[in-house]
Amino acid sequence: MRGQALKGHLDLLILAVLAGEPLHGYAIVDELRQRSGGALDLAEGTVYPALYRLERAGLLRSRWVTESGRRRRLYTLTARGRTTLEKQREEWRSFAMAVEAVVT
Amino acid sequence: MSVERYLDDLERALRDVGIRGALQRRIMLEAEDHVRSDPGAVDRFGSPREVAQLFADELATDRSRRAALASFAALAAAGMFFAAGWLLAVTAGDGADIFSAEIPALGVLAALGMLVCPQIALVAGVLALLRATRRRHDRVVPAAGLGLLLTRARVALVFGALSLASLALYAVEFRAHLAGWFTLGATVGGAALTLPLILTAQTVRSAASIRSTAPGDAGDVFDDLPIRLPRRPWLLCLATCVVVGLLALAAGGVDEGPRNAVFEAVAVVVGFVALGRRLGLRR
Repeated sequence: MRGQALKGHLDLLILAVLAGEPLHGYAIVDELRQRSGGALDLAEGTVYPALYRLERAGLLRSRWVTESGRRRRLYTLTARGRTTLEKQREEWRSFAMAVEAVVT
Repeated sequence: MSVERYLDDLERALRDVGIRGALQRRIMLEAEDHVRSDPGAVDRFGSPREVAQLFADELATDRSRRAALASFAALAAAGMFFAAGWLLAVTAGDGADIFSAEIPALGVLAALGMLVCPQIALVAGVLALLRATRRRHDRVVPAAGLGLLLTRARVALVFGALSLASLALYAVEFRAHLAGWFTLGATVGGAALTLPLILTAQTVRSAASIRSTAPGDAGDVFDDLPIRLPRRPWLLCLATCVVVGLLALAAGGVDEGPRNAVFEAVAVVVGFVALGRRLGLRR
């Protein structure tokens, strides 16, 4: 899926990936690629501005951890983030059903 | 590209867009961790310039909105103090005329400042607040639009500070005709409430230092209003003259109302001409 088309949905994708467990940036990108079977392809650095924005909005929180001798930033969904995710999931389902009804 | 070269380019690109200090360090640490995670990660991360610009466009939007809201909060406090000072000046004084100051020219300057500056501060502050709240859900606002937002905030802060200075100057120049507590309160209180304005000006400056290049038009007041109006700036100016004139007429009564109404209407037109383009009231 082209990077430009992804931009509008990146927030939802990140929230969905973090619903399972806290992850750092590289793992988030890797999870996105794996879950989509490689269809979701974007410049990996573009995830970070989105992470910072979601954190400023109170949907994520983060902390530094040390793994394998390297410092990395771990992101976790907040309660507000979970509520927003559920709401956006519903909106996506409605949208997808509407588009499906028109194009098929 | 090697990881070291990439990180050097990214650091330079972040600096070029105005991202420095703790945020730059955090971005660099996370980027380094990411690009060292596997051999191909550095090539998939995206061009340093593009990544830095993405950060800048979003950060500039967020910081500019916050700076505008902070400006309005500081101005609201200063505005309430000024309004109280204006009302108390009547009870604290002996009704001396505008030329009875210690130095008459300064007394006239103070009186004019008290009339004009708060109105400009109010208009600019409300315009900044309107834009910040109307665009609160936008991930990225065009750079030109952010420029207009910050200009409104700056104008509001400057004229807010000048309003407090005018009140203090009035209190000092007319002290022979005012109660001592008023002169003390107006000067000390004015100085104290100027501090938040100065501090907020720093956050405006900090927001302006982030160099967004997000494309798009600056827009104007018609894009910021919650109701759709015909895009006719001079009609808006005329309507404002009429409303402000009527309010001044009602407030001033039979004796002073007509004079005040004419003064206010002329002030609206002069303000529209002098600051209209700068504040996005007209293109």
